[in-house]
Amino acid sequence: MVDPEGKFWRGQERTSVGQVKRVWGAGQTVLYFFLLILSFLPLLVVGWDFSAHAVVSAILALVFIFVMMKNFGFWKATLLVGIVYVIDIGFIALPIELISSTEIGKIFIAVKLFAIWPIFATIIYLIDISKTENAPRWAKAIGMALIVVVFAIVIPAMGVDSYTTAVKEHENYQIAKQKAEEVGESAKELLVNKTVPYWKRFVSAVPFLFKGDMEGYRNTLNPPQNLTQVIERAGAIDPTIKEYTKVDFVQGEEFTREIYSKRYPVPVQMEIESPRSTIDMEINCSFKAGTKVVPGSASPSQLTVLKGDEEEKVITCFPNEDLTKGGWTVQMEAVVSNLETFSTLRRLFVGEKTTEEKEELKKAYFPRSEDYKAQHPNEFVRIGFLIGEPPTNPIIDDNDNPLLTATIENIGKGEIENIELIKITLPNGLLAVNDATRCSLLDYEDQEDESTVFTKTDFNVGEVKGKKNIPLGICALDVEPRLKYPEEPFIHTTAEANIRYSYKIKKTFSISVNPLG
Amino acid sequence: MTMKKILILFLLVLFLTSCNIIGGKKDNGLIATNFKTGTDGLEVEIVEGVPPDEIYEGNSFGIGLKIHNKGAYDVNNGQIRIAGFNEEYTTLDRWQSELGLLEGKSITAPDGDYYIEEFQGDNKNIPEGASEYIEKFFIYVDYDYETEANTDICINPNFYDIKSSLESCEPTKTVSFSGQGAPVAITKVEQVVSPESGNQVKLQFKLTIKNKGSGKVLGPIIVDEVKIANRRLQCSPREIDLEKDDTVVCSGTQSLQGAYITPFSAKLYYTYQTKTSNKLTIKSLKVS
Repeated sequence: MVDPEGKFWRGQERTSVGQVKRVWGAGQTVLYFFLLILSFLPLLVVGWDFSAHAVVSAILALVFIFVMMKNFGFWKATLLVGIVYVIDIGFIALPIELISSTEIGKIFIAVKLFAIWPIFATIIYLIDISKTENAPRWAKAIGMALIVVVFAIVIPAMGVDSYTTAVKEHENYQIAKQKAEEVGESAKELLVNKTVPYWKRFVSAVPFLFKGDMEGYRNTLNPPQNLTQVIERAGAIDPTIKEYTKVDFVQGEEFTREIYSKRYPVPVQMEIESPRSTIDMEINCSFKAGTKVVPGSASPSQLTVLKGDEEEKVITCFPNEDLTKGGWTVQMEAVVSNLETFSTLRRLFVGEKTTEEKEELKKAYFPRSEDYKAQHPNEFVRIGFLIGEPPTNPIIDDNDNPLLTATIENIGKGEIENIELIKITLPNGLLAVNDATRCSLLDYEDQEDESTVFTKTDFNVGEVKGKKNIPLGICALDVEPRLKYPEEPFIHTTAEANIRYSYKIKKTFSISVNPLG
Repeated sequence: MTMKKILILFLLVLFLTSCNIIGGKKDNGLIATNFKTGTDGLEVEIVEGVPPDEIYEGNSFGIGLKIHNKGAYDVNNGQIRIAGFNEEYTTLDRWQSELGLLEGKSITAPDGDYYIEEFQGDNKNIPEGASEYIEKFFIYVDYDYETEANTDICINPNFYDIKSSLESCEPTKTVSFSGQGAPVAITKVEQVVSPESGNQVKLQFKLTIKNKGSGKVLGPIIVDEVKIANRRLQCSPREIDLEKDDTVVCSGTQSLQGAYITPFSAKLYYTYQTKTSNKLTIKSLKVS
């Protein structure tokens, strides 16, 4: 790209009266464009790691000074860039642990998402253009485009996408911090990932960036650093479990996309498999076109499927009012209660063993990366839990003081309506530490067949309904001699967790209404 | 007559060959076989089909183990232990068993002694809804064993007069071995002669000890009965941990004299562990 005056880089021309006239070059635009891309680095590449953010921002500040120096002068450029840098590291890179869980704290979190460097780059580009006489039209047009892209698209997209996540992450951090204080040093290790240096995580993360996988990139750069995140990943689907509960609305043979009456029952097929419990369903439906909603009557509106049965039922949805001509969506909804699922967690109690011996056993019994997690069938909800020190370590030796962490997670596409029961059965030989201040599940502790069982039934619907994750807390465990100093070379055992819950499933189908006559 | 002579000659040859008078080198070789070679010890093999590769849930199974002493020394004390079955799903009738006497290789048992031990297992169930569950298990065999090295070495105590003292033999500074019929082997013996007071010299033998087997040594190795001819040498250390060190120095004094050949022997005592693993697939009766 070359400007009409034939200059690629910006320059100066002497006028007839001896004044200096600034000339815009295409290279100048390229330079600013490059600067704009660089200016996203502190937020997107480095994130909120304070020290790394401060270093990358400092390098960026030097680049800005270098670019601005010619038109703004060295001191003015340094002053402006210095102000931006102070705002950046003082507010945007502010360590999350320093932010309180208050409304003011949320403002600070919002400020952390402020893309100050890209805005600064856009502003100085515009200033530079305005100071240049006869700047080419295309350069001004790019300036306008930058305003639109940066202010109207990029920043809101980043903000909307990240704000909720950031607030949630901050809440998670606060919960994890509180839990860590309750359970002591071993859990605190989970809060900070001290094992992989930042630069190594960055190197591993870069390939995701090139693939355009921002989530993979962020997860690799900032791996699970707090306890809540670890708990959230405490379960994995067991591929060998082929029997699982299934409730789904599908388009059966009876379904018709086009109906020719204002009030015609729309048939939708329901596929149900219930290998674990007898389940009850309440079915509702409605019709929607734009903002207009017409309630419908589902028939049958209640269903019971016995344990072990597999059924395919046709549910019809009858509109309670006339549907107007045009496209409508039928929204089917089922609240399924008495659903039951489980997860199992294997652990090895190895007594006194060398590091090599423990590694060998780990390779033999937990060869896959997700084997250390609770294994469960592929259903709507899982009760994920971990035991160990740290809880992610499946090999427990005679020096370990294991922790139990547990969480309920919604892994389906619907919503948790209610939790009716959870039960965690520890292997014989594991006990909760008898100190109520250290274990939130301890109130529900009992003994069954020599095993410690935590059973909780008094869930508050308001606290669980619609939640994606429901942390159940952390318990410090005592290991009895049978497991601590096993007579056998090691003991391979399993803990089990069960949950009974209600779940709401929704699905929409598009239809077209063309009333005859 | 000729036929008779041929028949008598044939019978004579048959008699002589059957008595190893002619062509008896093989048997002579057997008599002279040194069983204290190689690095084998106790070996554990899982009897084929016991357990089978897979069973159905709720069924019983056996674990057949062939315990074979392929080394050159008897096993008097040891135990077999099985670990690794998930106790929530599978139980064994017992998880350990004492080893009986198992003789090492000898003329009477050139392949070493063996016996079969059987454990019984019961599967209770497998995880709910799973099509199968794989039970991995380890078999540990711990046993007391020994290693004995015997060799003839040439010693030259008279290092001041090398020329005349080397008339009978030439001293070997280092003797190397591959194995003595046990997993722990004395792999090298180095000889050092140094002056002592008066008419005496100090003989030092540095023994290098290695674990040449596939298992591991449990605890220390006791170095005992290191002798030249019938004379016991003092060893330091008396016990070694192969994880930390693999050499022992044994020493004694000797009067000045010319080079001579003498038997050298050393014995090691230790506990050795071999380990083998296997798996058993338990299939669901309900889910395929």
